Amino acid sequence: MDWLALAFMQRALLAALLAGVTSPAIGAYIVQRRLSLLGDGLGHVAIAGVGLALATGTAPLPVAVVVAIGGAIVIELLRQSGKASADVAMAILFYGGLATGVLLAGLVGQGTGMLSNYLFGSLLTISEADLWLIGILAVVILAATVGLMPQLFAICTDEDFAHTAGLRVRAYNLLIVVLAAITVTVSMRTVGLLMVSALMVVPVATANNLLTGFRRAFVLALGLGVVAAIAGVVGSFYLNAPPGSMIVVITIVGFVLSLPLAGALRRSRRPVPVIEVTDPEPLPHEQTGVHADHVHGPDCGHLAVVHGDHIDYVHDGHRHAAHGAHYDEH
Amino acid sequence: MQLTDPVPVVRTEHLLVELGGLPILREVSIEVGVGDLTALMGGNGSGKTTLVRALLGLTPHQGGRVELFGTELGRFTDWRRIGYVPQRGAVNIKQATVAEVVTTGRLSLRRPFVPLNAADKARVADALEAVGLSDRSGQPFSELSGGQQQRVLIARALAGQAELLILDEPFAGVDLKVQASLATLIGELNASGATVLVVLHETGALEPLLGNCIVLREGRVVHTGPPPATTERYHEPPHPHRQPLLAGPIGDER
Repeated sequence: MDWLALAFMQRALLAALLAGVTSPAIGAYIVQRRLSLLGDGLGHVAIAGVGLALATGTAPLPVAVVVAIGGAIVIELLRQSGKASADVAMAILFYGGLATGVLLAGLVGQGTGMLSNYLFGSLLTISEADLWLIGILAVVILAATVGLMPQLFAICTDEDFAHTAGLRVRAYNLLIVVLAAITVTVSMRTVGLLMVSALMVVPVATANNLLTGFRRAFVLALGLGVVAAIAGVVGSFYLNAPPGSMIVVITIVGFVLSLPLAGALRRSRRPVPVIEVTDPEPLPHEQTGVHADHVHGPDCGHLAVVHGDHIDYVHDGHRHAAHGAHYDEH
Repeated sequence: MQLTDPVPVVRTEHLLVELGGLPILREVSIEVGVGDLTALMGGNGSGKTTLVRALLGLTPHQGGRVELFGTELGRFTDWRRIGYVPQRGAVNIKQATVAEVVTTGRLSLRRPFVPLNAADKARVADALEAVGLSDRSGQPFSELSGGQQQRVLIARALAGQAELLILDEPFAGVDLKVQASLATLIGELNASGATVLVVLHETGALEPLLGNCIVLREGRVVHTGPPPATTERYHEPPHPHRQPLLAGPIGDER
């Protein structure tokens, strides 16, 4: 644990914590809106900002923030225009951003070596000034994603209804992409611009597998994001690998593990009875075989169907209703 | 009621809506009075859903005028008075419980950064109770049946303080029994004071409750008043209301 005493590791861990908590916070809304690749596009645009900063000799983080926010506004206005050509325009914007960044960095002789610190994350390059800016931006992101949760949730689930509830839909949509752009730059130092989208999306997908409800999954996704980011930074210290790659691999391992777990959780959840409208015509009496060592009841685990004045239990494609000592087929 | 509040809840005058340069609604002038249960009917492509969307400002109109509660649509801000129930198929909610969906119905009354209060929670519980889904509040919305999802969307509209409920094809994709129970619910809501505007493909289970019917054909109002004897008449050739259309400039393509 001697790495805890290293100043650059302390800064990296703090930056990872902030990236891990903010990325899934905005990612929860982006996934709900089915815009999972938005973060990837914004990351490409932010690369232009890094290239610009390297070429002009300024600090990369503030320039990247400004460029990414500008790109986000253009993306959202293109999307709202609803034109078919908007899709192509976005692709041009994304690759234009990436190419511009690489080109500008190359022009001043920085090459892709320097740039790769920003593409895949780096433990060594986080300055104290960076950390302050990351901290301030993280507070803004968390305040908005938690404080405006009802509004943002409504916009992401049903835009038309949100409009009829009097929300300023366009403004909130713009807020979502701008927050995503800020999150991309917050995570740039630890996860890197090419992989930040994974930290926004994968912990949310994992949490959605494990829990029902937006709010509960939101909280779990933030926890998973923090664990992955911190573990990734520590792991990359020992393996001498870029932290972004470690963080993303850990989130994906978590997602894969959640798949069988989600199935088990779903089975263990007691099914809520289905209430069915009954036919006034009584069913013909059809007796089933004996249930050897099983008595149907509220806790038997079989799906219950409230069928008029009694309850049927569903198993193996049959619906069985208790009738005296035996069961009837319903 | 007319004496105390003569202003119609919904009013349009010579409404024109174009989508992609094509006129979808033309010269639509309708009124929905306070406390009415009005059906907006017509065949596929007649412009029913477009009209509802234009009334709510979801689709812009190119001509004419829309008034909600006596206020021109562009200046209308009192959204808490309106409860919109969209077509179930248009709502695709990935990760949310029934209670979370219904809680968004309180948004028109809430301020940003202020948490849910006890009154909000009580209204959400009441709304779920009214549609008979209290025991489902913690379940994922996406796992409910079509009829239950429709009820949740109605509960969401009820969770506010809506005086006008606008339902877009609530019977689409649900079987006859569920239609009957939804019709009973809509009737009860209307009886308890809500003005209801419901988009229907056919009168169906709501027929006995309907006070007023607005029938659209090819983007124009062809009938206003009590429900027509059979809906089929608006789709089949021998119908008196078709005469002006046959004689009119647009002719008849069938």
